Amino acid sequence: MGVFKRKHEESSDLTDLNTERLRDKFEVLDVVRMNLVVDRTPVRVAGEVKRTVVAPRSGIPTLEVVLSDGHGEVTAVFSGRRSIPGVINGRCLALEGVARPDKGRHIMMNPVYTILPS
Amino acid sequence: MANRFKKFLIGNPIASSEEQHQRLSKKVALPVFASDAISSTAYATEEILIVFLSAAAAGAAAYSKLVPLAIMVVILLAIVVSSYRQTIYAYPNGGGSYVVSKENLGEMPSLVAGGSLLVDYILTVAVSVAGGSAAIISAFNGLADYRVELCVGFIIIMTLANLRGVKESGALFAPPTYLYVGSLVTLIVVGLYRVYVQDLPPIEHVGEAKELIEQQGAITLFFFLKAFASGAVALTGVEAVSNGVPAFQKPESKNASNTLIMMAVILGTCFFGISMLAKELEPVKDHEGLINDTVLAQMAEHVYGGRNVMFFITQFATFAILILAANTAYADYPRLSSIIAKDNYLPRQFANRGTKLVFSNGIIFLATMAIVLIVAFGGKVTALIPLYAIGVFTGFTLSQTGMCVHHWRHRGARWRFHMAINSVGAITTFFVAGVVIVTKFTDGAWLPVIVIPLLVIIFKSIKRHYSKVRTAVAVEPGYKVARKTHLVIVLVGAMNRGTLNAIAYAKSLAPDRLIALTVAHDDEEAEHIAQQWIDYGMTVKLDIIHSPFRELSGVIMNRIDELDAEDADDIVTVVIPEFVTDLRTQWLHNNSAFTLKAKLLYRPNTVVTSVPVVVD
Repeated sequence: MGVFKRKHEESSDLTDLNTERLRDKFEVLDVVRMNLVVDRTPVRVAGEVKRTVVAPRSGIPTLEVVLSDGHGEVTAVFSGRRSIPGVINGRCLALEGVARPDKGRHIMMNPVYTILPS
Repeated sequence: MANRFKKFLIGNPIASSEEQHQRLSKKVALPVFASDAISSTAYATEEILIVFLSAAAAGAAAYSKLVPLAIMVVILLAIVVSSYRQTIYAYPNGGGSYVVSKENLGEMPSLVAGGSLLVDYILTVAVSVAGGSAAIISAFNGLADYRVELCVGFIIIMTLANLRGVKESGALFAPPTYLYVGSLVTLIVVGLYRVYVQDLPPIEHVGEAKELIEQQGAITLFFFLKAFASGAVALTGVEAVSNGVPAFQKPESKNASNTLIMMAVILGTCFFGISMLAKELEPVKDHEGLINDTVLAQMAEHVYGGRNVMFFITQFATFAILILAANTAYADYPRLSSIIAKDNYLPRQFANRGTKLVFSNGIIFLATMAIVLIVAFGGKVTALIPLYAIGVFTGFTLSQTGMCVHHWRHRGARWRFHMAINSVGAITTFFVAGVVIVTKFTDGAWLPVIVIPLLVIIFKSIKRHYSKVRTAVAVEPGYKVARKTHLVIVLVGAMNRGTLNAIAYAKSLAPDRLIALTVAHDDEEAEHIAQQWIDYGMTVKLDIIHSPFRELSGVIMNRIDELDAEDADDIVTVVIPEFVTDLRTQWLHNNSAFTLKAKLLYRPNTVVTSVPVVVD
């Protein structure tokens, strides 16, 4: 009676739609696709800010943003500051720097960033 | 508020320890257990006549067949009763068909018996209430248009009474039953006296009734058997005594057995007497219900010479005993369904006792099904009768067969004799069940033929499911609970006391990872909450998620999936702050939380916790 089995929905239509939107947007740029990023080598990627992380007060002030280009994700960590004007949810950024792996994610510390027109 | 309404309807709860087991004397037990069986005399003769007059169109020739048929039914009654006497002695703890066939014949037969009986109890309610309403309508013809409403009303009243907990007390049952038996015997004696001594002529009919009686159709064997199948409904309810043996005073079996015989004598005499009277008075009834008065009412009116006190007493007594008969189903159905539920063949809810110590769910289900039947068949007894007898006789057959096996296994004193009686019972009732199915198949007997096997399939699949679940969660020796990484996610809507409480609570869960999630729909919102998060000096990371399509639950679910995927063995607790306000304004809050909860409910390895903030 497989029909009656409760199934947890893995992805919705909106997720697919969003992926396609992002791919269309960033595939035209001359950058590395995020799923093809090689750690510990200089890369240039571009994506939309999917998420910002507000870190706790203790420790060094940092701003963490997660970019997505529809193929993959790259996390940029800016230390010494809590916010950067223009680096907010939904904006597009190009990043230049070296990524390191962390729990399956690509993390770029203090990359050079360019805010792209949305 | 709902509680207060419930209390108003069904009264104060009763503690489990207050349950009383009252023992019944024979005088009281007779009305309690026999009302169902005896009440069928109110419509059995009528149903025979309907087959002859309406289906066979036999006209006046029908009346000559009434007495032979009545004799056949009485013989059948004698066979069934002597078989059931044996059951009473063999099962002093109560031997319903389900119990007897489960013990002696195995799973499948017991399920068939259980299913048949459950169907039958529903029909007992429907048929008896329809019959009771017919008695009332015969007395007050103006009510004929409200037949269905009347029936449904009676069922609802009875349901409420039973939810409150009606004791099977003699005080309630005895007067109507004895009144009915008394009025029936009076009717028969006075009627026969007036016919044979005072030469009372048959009832004169006009209109449609006259047309019916003037038809000249032939009574074929098929119609004879069909009429017999209708008459056999007189036996419904006979098994009640054997179900209730423990309720008798000591010596239980002997008292029960004597009560059973008393009942059979009353039932047989009344049925036979009514049939004889009907033969002489020639009352008329059709299957479409164009004639409102019941056969009993027509005869009472004729015998007593009009609608006088005696007529109304007869009608009310008939009504009262039929309602009582329906009420016995209210006692038996929930009890049987609870036994079946305890064996895991029905949802466990049927085994639960309600606040008044009655099996509330069984009662409500029974009432609902009976109402459905009444509405579907327009509240007419005749339409329901073909559905009725099959279950009874299937139950009889299985129970008697079970008794045969019982005698064979135990082989006590004179076991051959006992086995012979039960074998005759089993064969006869099996034959009758076959006759009912064959002769009434197109009239509606096909319904139980489908429903009962369907019920058996449902029983089995419920059992299979319960067994599967039990095996799946069983604790094997040496089982240890696996240590899981605990990821706690707090959903944040805005910065307020609710959020702070939720985060404090989340910390108390000692999580391996703790993260707060919020969804921002625009830049301002994102900046605002980020600023506040810093200003309040929060010590937990806050993920501000961008929702490109301004939607909430989807992005949150995606993020939870991502976080969950980072560890292979984790368990996720989602903490949701919730405002609790009074009933009038509650709907203004938590609507998105509600959607999320509904989605998270089906997520594996996920605990959803609400942290309430009470706002007065």
